[in-house]
Amino acid sequence: MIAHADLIALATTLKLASISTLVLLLLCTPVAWWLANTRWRYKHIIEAIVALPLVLPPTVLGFYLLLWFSPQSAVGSFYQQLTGSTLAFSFTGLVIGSVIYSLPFVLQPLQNTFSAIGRRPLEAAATLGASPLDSFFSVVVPLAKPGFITASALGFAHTLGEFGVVLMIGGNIPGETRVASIAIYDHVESLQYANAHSLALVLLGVSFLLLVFVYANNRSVLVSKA
Amino acid sequence: MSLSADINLAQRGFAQRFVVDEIHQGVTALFGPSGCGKTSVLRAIAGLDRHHDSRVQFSSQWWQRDSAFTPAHLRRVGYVFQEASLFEHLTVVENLSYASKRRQENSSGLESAEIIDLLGIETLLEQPCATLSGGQRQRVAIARTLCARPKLMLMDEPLSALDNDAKRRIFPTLQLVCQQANMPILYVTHSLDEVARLADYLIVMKQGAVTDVGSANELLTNLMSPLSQQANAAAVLSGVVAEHDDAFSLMRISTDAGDILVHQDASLAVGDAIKLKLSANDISIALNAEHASSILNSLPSKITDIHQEGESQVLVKLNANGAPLLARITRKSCHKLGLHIGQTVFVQIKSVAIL
Repeated sequence: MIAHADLIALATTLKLASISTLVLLLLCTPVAWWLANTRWRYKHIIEAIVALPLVLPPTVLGFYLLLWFSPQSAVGSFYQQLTGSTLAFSFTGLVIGSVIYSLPFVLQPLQNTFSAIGRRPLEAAATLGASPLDSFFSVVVPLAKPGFITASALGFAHTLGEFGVVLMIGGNIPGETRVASIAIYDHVESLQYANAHSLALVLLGVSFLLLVFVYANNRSVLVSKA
Repeated sequence: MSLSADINLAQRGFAQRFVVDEIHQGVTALFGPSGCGKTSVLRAIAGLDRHHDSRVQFSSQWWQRDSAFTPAHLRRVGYVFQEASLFEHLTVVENLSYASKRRQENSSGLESAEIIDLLGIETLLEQPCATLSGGQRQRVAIARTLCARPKLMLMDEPLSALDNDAKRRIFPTLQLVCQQANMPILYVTHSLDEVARLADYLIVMKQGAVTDVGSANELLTNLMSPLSQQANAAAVLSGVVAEHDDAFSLMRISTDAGDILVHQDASLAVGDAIKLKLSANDISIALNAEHASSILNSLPSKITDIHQEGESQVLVKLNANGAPLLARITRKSCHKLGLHIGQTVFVQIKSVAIL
């Protein structure tokens, strides 16, 4: 059915999506919280920057990343000094690319959820003696659970479908940077339609199930609020 | 335990400062029209908002002074919001234990079981908050605040979101809470009825500044204050149930102004402390006590002030053995009886409400 090489590509894809989603949750939670609560007058500039991956062609994103990752650039040479390897054409480089590429898909649901919760539950918690950190974990996180679920599912699904950025910065190293979307492209190029079919079907199925999960989750949010 | 505050409400668009000294134990009502800055004051005292150039002191602690600012969670101020603001992801009992888990070590106050009993929420404990009615939510919110054992309690129009029926049912509970909570309570309201029923002291606010401070009854009956000019102007008397008269289903209440007979209330025992509301519209004036009448309650009093209201009415302020009372009569009666300041008369009380 699915060739061994393709299974490895699928495993790489799942690994990439899982790690990227985890990094995104850690990164986006404080940023989304800040964006939802700040009264800073220039916050729209930050909002525009984090929304850029929504509209930029993945090739543009990939091109800039490729420049940064090169050992001639400050970022690339710093990483090389630190680890002895290059960022370009590495799994770590792919994770960085995916995190940037899927950022708005995690950030925006979280920001919307935090805005909807508002400051009142935190104020109530503060008057009951809960410190800001305590009330964040005891009140905001449980209230924002549906938002975290939506954000994770969207971030994961979006990373599964990543193609352009990977092509620019990851290349096609089996077991390292060869993800499912690249493998499909290769199969089509070499007219192996059957292999392309089975991989495409897996991605279609997984993405569909994730979106069903997201919408069912959103519906339960709506129902529980009514 | 006392609270003093000097809050600059310039950020709220008011040119004036809110200044009060020494709010002590008991219920102090913060009264004023909507939008006069009552909630802003409460939020500043709780530490939820920070106004520059302001000071808040509680007992010997400065909560805000110069650049020092104690954050809300370290002030131990209980806050009952207009909307209950319960934690929706928790059940009723989990909401309560959220507060009691975070109370200060060696804090003193009511035990959780006593609080649950006081607010009458035993049957709701296991319910999720989403299933509660408005009145039930506010009961839970008050219980949750008490469970945290605050040093000071702030209530921001806790009844305003409730319908009249729910208000009527929660009122006796609120009175009990105010009696048993062993701390200063600052109660924001724009309802004179709530002031009369709950407040010991009164702060009247207008446009961000304090216009009057004093004992609630003194201010309610002060003819110069806008409070007494309202259609429902009334005086409030504190009293003790002295005797039940089962034959006529009445009880005798001993007050500063003298004994007053009211309809019997079986739930009250001899010795219980109660408040009576004497509406200005229900009091008439007679020149002597022997006036044959169906009215039971007649008290000697001295006229201390007379204030004309419109074309046909006057509002008379009287002093009955030290207790201020208000009577609203027609200008014609006032003229016919020749009433004047300093005169001793008899007030005839047509009806009395137990608060």
